[in-house]
Amino acid sequence: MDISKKIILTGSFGVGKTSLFSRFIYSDFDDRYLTTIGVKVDKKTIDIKEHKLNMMLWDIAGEVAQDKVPLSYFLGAHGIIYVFDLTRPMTYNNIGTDIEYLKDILPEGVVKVVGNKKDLVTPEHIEKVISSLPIMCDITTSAKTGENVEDLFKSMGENLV
Amino acid sequence: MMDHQDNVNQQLAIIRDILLHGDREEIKKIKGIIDSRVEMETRIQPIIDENISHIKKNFPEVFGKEVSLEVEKKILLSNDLILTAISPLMGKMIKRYITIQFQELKESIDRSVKNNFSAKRYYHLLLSRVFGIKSSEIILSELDAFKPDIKDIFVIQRNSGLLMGSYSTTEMGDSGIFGGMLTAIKSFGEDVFKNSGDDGHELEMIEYNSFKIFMQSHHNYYFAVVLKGTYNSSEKDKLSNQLIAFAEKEKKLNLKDFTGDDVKYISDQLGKFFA
Ligand SMILES: Nc1nc2c(ncn2[C@@H]2O[C@H](COP(=O)(O)OP(=O)(O)O)[C@@H](O)[C@H]2O)c(=O)[nH]1
Ligand SMILES: [Mg+2]
Repeated sequence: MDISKKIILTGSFGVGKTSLFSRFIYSDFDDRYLTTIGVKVDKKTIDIKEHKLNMMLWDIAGEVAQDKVPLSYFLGAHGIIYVFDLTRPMTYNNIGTDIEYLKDILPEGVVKVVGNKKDLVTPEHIEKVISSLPIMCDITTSAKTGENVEDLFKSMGENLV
Repeated sequence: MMDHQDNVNQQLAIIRDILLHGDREEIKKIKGIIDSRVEMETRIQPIIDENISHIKKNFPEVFGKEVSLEVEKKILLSNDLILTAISPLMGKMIKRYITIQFQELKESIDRSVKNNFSAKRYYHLLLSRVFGIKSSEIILSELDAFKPDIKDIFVIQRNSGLLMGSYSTTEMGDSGIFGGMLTAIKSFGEDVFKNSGDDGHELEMIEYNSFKIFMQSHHNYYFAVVLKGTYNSSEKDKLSNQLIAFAEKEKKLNLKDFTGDDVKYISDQLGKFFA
């Protein structure tokens, strides 16, 4: 069966959202949209069990919980990928309130918390950062090497069908 | 004495005859006139005629007040009677008026075959003016007749931007991505104008060269219709009514969660309805 879901990529500036998006989807869509209206939508279809899942991915520029991003970009999302940068504490300092805010808007949404740029840090550092967070980190990735990128989207897909 | 008296009388009669001879002739003549109708008429008729023509000329002044009062009284008393008398005449006048109007309409339609819309609009206008038919009723009855130049039509879930169905005559790439991006652009536009005081305003039209994307929001979804050509507000209204008619018909559009089968069904229905 064919199913379509809206998945949003959100998190602070420069954490690697667009890089993860581009790693996962070969996109010939113009990046101009991202800079002009702050969002770019693309699609990737993956097979999950007997289903064909059309993942409609929304790469959203701008901080969570700021009125700079139209609230409607988040609305109707089935999946939320919240990305932070393992090398920059200011990208995960507000993670607790951000996730709370998103769950408030999207109570039924599946949330994945992602620590990116793992290629730049040691496993010990990763461990230290993750344990300091008020919420659980689901996966650590590298958009540069591609590590865990497929797994991130696949596990999201499995949670959505 | 008697003889004398008789004599006097005789003499007096002679004198009278002498003195009154002219008058007697005149009296005899007048008597003749009076006794003869023909003679009488030739003399009196001109006077009567003169009077009649005077009355005719000055009737309102001379008798107007009395007559109008009388007529008023009669009208008040016999309103129905007068109406029944006048109605056939009015009926004829109206029929004639409509005939002329329809003739003009027909000519107007013939003239504007090129511009299908304006003739239709004129027709509706006329129907509503002459017969007082509500324009909404006309629009509903004319739904089938109105054929906008639809290139593509999409039903898109409101917040998620997911495609619920599409009918397309053009090869325009992935309609799922189109639905998502269009939703994003729509949201962006609405967000920009959110604080402009134009409350509750939704983006309705995006224009690109000769193409237009007409958008109409419903509760859980919106229609995006890619059109070619120019459309005035009345034509947009008709398109809008067609979309409403489709929305009322297809209950599946209200599904919160839908599958590929639902998308296929809605797409097929779009094709049937708008092709
Ligand atoms: N080393 C490394 N650099 C990354 C990674 N992901 C993103 N970057 C870099 O981080 C910068 C910001 O990435 P971008 O995807 O634009 O972040 P966004 O603002 O969240 O979309 C860019 O220079 C990327 O090349 C990663 O996993 N490892
Ligand atoms: Mg980005």
